[in-house]
Amino acid sequence: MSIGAQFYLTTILVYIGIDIIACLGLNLQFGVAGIINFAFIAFQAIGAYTAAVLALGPPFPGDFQHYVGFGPLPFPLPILIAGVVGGIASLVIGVICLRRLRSDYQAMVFLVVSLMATTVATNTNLVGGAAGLSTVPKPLYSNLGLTLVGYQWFYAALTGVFAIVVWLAVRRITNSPLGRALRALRDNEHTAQSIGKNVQGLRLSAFIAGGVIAAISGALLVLFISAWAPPGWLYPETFVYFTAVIVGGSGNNLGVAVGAMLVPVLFLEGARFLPTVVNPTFIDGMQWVAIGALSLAFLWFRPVGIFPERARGPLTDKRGGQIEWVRAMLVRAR
Amino acid sequence: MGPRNARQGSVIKAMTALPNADLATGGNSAVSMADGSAILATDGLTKSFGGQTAVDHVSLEVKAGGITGVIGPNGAGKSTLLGLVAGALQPDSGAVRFRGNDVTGLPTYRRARAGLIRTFQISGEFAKMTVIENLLVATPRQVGETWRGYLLGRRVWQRQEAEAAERARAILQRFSMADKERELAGGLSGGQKRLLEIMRALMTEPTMLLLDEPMAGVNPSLARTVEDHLLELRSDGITMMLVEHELGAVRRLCDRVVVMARGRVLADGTMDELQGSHEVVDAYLVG
Repeated sequence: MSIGAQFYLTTILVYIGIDIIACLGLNLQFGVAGIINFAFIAFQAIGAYTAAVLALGPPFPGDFQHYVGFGPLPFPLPILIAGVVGGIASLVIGVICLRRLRSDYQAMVFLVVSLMATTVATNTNLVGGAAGLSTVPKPLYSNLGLTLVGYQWFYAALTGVFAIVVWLAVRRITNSPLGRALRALRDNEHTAQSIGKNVQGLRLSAFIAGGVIAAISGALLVLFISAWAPPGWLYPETFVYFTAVIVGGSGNNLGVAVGAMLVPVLFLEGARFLPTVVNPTFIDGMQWVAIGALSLAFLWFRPVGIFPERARGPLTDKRGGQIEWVRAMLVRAR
Repeated sequence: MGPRNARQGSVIKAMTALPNADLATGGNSAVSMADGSAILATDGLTKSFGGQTAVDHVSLEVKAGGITGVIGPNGAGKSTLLGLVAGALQPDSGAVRFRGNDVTGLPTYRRARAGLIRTFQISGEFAKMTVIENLLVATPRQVGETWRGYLLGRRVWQRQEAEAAERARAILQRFSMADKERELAGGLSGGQKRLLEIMRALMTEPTMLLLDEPMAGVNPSLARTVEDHLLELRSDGITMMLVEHELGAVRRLCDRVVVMARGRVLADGTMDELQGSHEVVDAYLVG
């Protein structure tokens, strides 16, 4: 494989890993707990900014970069601390937004939170303003002594490890009585309350867990692309993730992982290969239309997504794993 | 400021002004409840919506065991009363005591954990979960629902889950719904959803059930089945408070009936006593 192809492939692999992590986090909030978090991308941004700030070293003379301080911290501290900061931010925002509001109003409040976050980040010099942060060093790059392409492969593997850890952590929630209680409050909040579930507490925990995961995905992203600025996390980006979750199968971890490969990666990346029509920005603009149309089409014709949520029995029952389940699906399709 | 002060005031009132029966039999201990003292008491419960007083100084006592019916014309405040008792609504003034404790300020889930479980007039099933999951989720005090259970993993909640599954299957059997175990609750018929409400309430091991029209929208033969189940639960020792429109069912089920009209308690007694009362007959039974 040529260097260029390897470079491209590894970049796609990293994006797939990061998008799977993000979609698993959003699925926990939206697919499992029913929280319509339209500010999801802002939590990814919080993680990215945190990791960038902590990875950047002190300024040197004549440098254009805005330095906040604290750094440089060694790998993997920027990523882990980004997760913690994402969790704290989720706690604060969740306590304000999740209480005493119906879920459709919560969705609107979250959308406003997302807009506010962009406005604040753009118009203050807290994290570099509109220019954002750049020249974020790649973790372990100088220690490993790899070639540029070699490092790409390393980072793809690193993202894969994080994706697996997040997958296992999320699955441990969804395959437990905790996940069942979350799905119950998603389906009917009042009934959940009437059988003794602390709906506020459960919802807040799912929101925080999703926020931590979002922040980790953002941290991995910024350490890979080395730069982060407000135009990269405008509110429509949240809808790309929502579309991925809906297309893949809301509430099904395997489904949203597939959705993460299909929507943000294949769908958006694939557009790169389309010939230029009308004018150079046409395809770019049409992508948003297509994302919206895709999620609408699924909500209309197949709201359960490609891989529907599984019908579960008692958690102690013997059941086929994910692989058996996929096999059963394929057999049924045939 | 208003409700809180009013509540404190009424607690004192409850302690000073509700002595007779309660204190004579030894107050609020569990022992006295078993031999028929009040398991649930409301004291001057009042709730207004806008200018409309839906529940107006309602003071009731429900003894342990037996089924208490609440009847009355539309808009009499029956469902509001149920909501106040269950904790879905907070009263403007007055207090609710359950098993001797003031639960007025407690949220619904805390009352539910104390054993006071309500069902809904409109079925509130968890639609995208299977029937058995709808029951399992109601298991009280699940270790696997806590973050401790999450961190320690399966081994700390496995046994509880297995026991819950056994209990859930026994309940499904009892309600002749065993074959629906793996069906999504959202796909059940209206009558089956009513049964699911009761089964789920049972899973919580309740002390007292608040049933909001459990036979609403159910065909007559299934309604009789629901009635039979409720009578069985009664003989199991579960106290029930039942809001119901169909007077035939109320006659068959209820040991005592409370008649409400315009937010107030109009009469209180057995169905036979009530039908002898001109006031009640005028207000409700005839129309």
